[in-house]
Amino acid sequence: MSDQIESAAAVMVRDYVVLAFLVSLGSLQLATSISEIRGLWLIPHKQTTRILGILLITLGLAYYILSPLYLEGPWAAGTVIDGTSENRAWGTASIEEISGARNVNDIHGGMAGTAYAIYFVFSAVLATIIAAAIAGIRHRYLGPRTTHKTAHTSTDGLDALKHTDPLTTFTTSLTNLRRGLPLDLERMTQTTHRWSIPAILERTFRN
Amino acid sequence: MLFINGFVGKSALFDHVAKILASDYLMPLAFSTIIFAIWFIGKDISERRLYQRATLIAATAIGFANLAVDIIDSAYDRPRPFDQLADSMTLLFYRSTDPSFPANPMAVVFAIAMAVMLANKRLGWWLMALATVYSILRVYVGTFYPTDVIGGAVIGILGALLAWFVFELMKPVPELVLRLLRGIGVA
Repeated sequence: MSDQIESAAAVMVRDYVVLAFLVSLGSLQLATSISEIRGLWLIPHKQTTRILGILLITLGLAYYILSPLYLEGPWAAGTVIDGTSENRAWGTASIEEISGARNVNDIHGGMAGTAYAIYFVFSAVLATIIAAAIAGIRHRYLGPRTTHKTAHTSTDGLDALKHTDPLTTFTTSLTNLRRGLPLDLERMTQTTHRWSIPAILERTFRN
Repeated sequence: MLFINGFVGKSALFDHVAKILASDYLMPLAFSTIIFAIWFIGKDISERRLYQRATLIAATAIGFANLAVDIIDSAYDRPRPFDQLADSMTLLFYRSTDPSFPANPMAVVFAIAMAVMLANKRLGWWLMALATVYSILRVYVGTFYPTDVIGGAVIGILGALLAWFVFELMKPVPELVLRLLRGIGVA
């Protein structure tokens, strides 16, 4: 029984990571196409990036919801319809079972809430890194490193990604951070409430 | 509870849709994706900073809400409706083994909706509506009582407000975190 639970857990984690990765990558493409952050686009066209985003989200959901029809897992047999994930047979699900196939209790191989959160963060970070890597390669080998004449060294972070590739953005942002952090810190401190804990600590140690 | 669950079986198609929408994965994934996506949204740096702050507040609020749910769970073990009303209701979901009150998934989605509302009222209201639909569906499939989801919603909203207050109290630390993230090109 415990072997089956372990196998079920592995299948659930694998499929959820695929889902979360595709949905994160799709939503990243959608969001960056709206805010025109070209440095994270997989394809250098705004409309195509938007369509690709919607396709990736749809693909992720279709894979997760429909794959029990084709892939073996802890979702077979009529117990699914009875509303319990206990003692489910291993196999593929029928079309009648598909809506409840993924509703598996965590004690029977499903995922706990914390696991969903951890794997989502992992997948979202992975999606961002892969988007940046693909966009970086595309910039380096297939296009100019700077796509806009307005690009200059004073912009950094995601703003710089509107004009340059991820690698250039990283180095420019890091340089600006090193040079500007003391001034930024001073400005942040000036706009702080009197009752904020860091401000109180700062006053205490100064006196 | 029995009134809402009483509609189970009237439409097989609706029951199938409800089982997918009330699942553990779909709505929490949708809400998580929204707080991930708004990190990259914004016409200019000040608008983006507002949304990025909302993402950080939402993440903190989820932590507070989960902590509150854990504390209440350890003090009060309310049985699930399918255990107490087994003869008069239909269960469309698996038999959860943790306490019924407060509903943890509702605490999470309402915490996110409230955190987003602090940055963008319109999107926040949409998320509140979506979270309410999720709550009703959870009652419909038989995993929670209405008071469980109301309790979860209140905890989520209070968690987001507490996270906002902590962010104000800790100023300028959140701004410094965002500045450091901008320094490596990700904010």
